Amino acid sequence: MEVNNPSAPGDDEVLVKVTAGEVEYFSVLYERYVGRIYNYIYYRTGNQFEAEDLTERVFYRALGRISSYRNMGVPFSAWLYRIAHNLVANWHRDNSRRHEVALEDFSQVLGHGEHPESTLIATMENEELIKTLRELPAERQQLIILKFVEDLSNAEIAVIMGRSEGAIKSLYHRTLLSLRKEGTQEED
Amino acid sequence: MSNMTQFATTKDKNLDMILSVEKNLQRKLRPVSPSPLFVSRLENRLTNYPRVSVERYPRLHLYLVALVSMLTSLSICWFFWRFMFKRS
Repeated sequence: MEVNNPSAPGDDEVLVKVTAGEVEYFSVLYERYVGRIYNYIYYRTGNQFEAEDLTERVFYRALGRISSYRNMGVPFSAWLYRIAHNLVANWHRDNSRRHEVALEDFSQVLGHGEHPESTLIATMENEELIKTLRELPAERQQLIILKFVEDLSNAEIAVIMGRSEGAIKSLYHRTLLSLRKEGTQEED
Repeated sequence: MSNMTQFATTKDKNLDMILSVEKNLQRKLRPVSPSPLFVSRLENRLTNYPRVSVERYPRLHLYLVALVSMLTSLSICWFFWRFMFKRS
């Protein structure tokens, strides 16, 4: 969803226009980030409908508060991810008393149009991984999603999560170790 | 096996394990695309944001009507009070 056109205006340029009242320019930012925010929320909730609902809320909230947005050297995407992170945290808190999200909801993760048999095998393999992933603390889930789904560098993740790059590297290492430990425990 | 060799082997084993987890995550975690219908519908709603916000919050409309009516009544009262005061 990222706009790779070099002539496309940068986020800062668009934000100046949007905060000056030219709200129609918000659609440029929307097109640029809707896929990434959706992905992030989808992996955190495991449900297509919840992901759509929360993505909608993220962009409504962002648009509603855009006039108060101040560029403090943090990318706009980091601001959006923080809104998404807070909304997902609220969603988990509200849902904790209700039910666990079915792992079957993750079936969309698999490639569209694949052969049914390979899809089924991949679903079973993925279920295990997603199950383990969802048992991790929220910040570790966030790190893994940003790294592998969003394909961001440690430096970019550090900005989004409001930590130093070193802290992210260390957290990443510990997360992989814990995932490995979980994996070996299940094999035993 | 000396302690140093044992330490090096354990370290290599840990590194191999981490690399295999990393490879597994790279292979299995793929980006998903939101439905195009959802994307375009939300874009339309965001484009019409002020109108949509009234639709989403119908009470906002009522509050605005109440506020305008209150201001109108106050100005009428003020006008009559001034008129009466001037006459007396």
